[in-house]
Amino acid sequence: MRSVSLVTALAVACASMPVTAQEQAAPLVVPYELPDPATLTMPKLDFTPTPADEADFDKYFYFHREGTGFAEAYTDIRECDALASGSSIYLDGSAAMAGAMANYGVLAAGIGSAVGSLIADAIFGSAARRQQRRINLRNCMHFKDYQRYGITGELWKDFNFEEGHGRKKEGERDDALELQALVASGPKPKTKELGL
Amino acid sequence: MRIVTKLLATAAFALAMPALAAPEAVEEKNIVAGKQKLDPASGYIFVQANYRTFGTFLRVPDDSTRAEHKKDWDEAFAKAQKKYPGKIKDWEAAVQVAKQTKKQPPERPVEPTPENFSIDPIELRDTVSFGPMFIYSKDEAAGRFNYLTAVKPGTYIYYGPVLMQPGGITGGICFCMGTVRFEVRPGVITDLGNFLIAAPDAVKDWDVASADAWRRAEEKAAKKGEPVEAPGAGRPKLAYGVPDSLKALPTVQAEFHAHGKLNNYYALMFTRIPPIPGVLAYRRDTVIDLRTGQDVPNPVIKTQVKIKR
Repeated sequence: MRSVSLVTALAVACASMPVTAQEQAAPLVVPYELPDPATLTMPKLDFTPTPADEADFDKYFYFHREGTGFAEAYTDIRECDALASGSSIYLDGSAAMAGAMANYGVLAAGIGSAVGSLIADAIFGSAARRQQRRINLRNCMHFKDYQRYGITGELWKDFNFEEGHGRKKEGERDDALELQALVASGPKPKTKELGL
Repeated sequence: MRIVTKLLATAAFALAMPALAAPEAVEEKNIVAGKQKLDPASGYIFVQANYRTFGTFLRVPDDSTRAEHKKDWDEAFAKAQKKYPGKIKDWEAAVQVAKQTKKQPPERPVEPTPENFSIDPIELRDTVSFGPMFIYSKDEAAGRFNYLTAVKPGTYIYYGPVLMQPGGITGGICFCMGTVRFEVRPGVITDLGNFLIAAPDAVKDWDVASADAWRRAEEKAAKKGEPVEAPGAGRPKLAYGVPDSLKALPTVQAEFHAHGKLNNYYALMFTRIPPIPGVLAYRRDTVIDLRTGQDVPNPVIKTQVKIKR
């Protein structure tokens, strides 16, 4: 399924650096895998919505933007996925800790972590993380002018995934993101636009 | 029992260290009592609001931050390289055990290389947050809450209404897809006024959170048969000015410039600051600097999460 052609994208590794840093850092060339859309099979999107389906459209949806090619859609979807995943929750914990140590000292980081991580885990469960991911994707794709369309949970699962505290395996994620890009750049859906 | 006592002692110790939560906040009572003094070598960020508020700024790394980060990176990399042979030995032993117990052997540890090794992001080295506690001064009757934070001079990016505590308890909303930055000079109080709240346009359905808030407000108004207030109706007017107790140092109004996307370092809910006349606009997800009319560089954000093969 994942027959890919290798292309390169410029300056993506330093994407998050502030302006001054970007100007001073040499742009990096990193491998960026762009799948061949001809190798992908369009997921089934046709269905007759029931009231129960419609009630779940804040959970099960997909995006589409007219006049958008596969490569552009794939880049947009990957970027929104990267932003929605964040960068600290799945790291080893060292990044957040080092940041705290740099700002507040070793003692503070140690105490804060011991007390804080317990509290944070208790109040911010996996379901909240999943919901946060959905909202972040909606914001991000909306800012990129994509329209949102509802779908049933069953059909949604064929080209989407949910993430709470853990990260899915990369192959599974990549397959889903590729199909999302295929849908986003495919024929305009005939169902109702949900907006934001 | 002993463990519980130890835990309680740790928690009590943590709670007894208020200075850690806001190490750079300046309070008027301390200035008046002579316990804190304004330092001409330091920069100061002054914020006012009509309620208690909070926010986080990221300082753009300068040469000294870069040098310090590189030193830490070199040290951590050398340490990781030194530990690697030991990790391989442990792994080999674990593979033997897995063979004997007929279980799946663990994956071989990845040798640290300059390409795959990283430490904390340099962008987070000089992070500054303020509020909602450790207020400089307040006048609740007048609806005025002031915050003053002593900071390293430099360029600061508004990361959003993000509440940060030592140890990584972070909450709030990141303005990861567009925000503003400003300069902070030494020996000067940089007055942000209430710009971050009052200057951005009030846009209905700006993001999912605001759309939900509007929907709820409209439903509530419909039930009561009342009209819904227009977007921005309750927003304060743009205001600047510092209390007299800060007149020892000169004050300058912050000059805001558009800034592009930022990584979602703390894995927060994210949005972007609404358009600001004369400062910032958007074309899709490209930020436009209205002071120059130019697009702000818009490189694609790449994930920094740990990849799971």
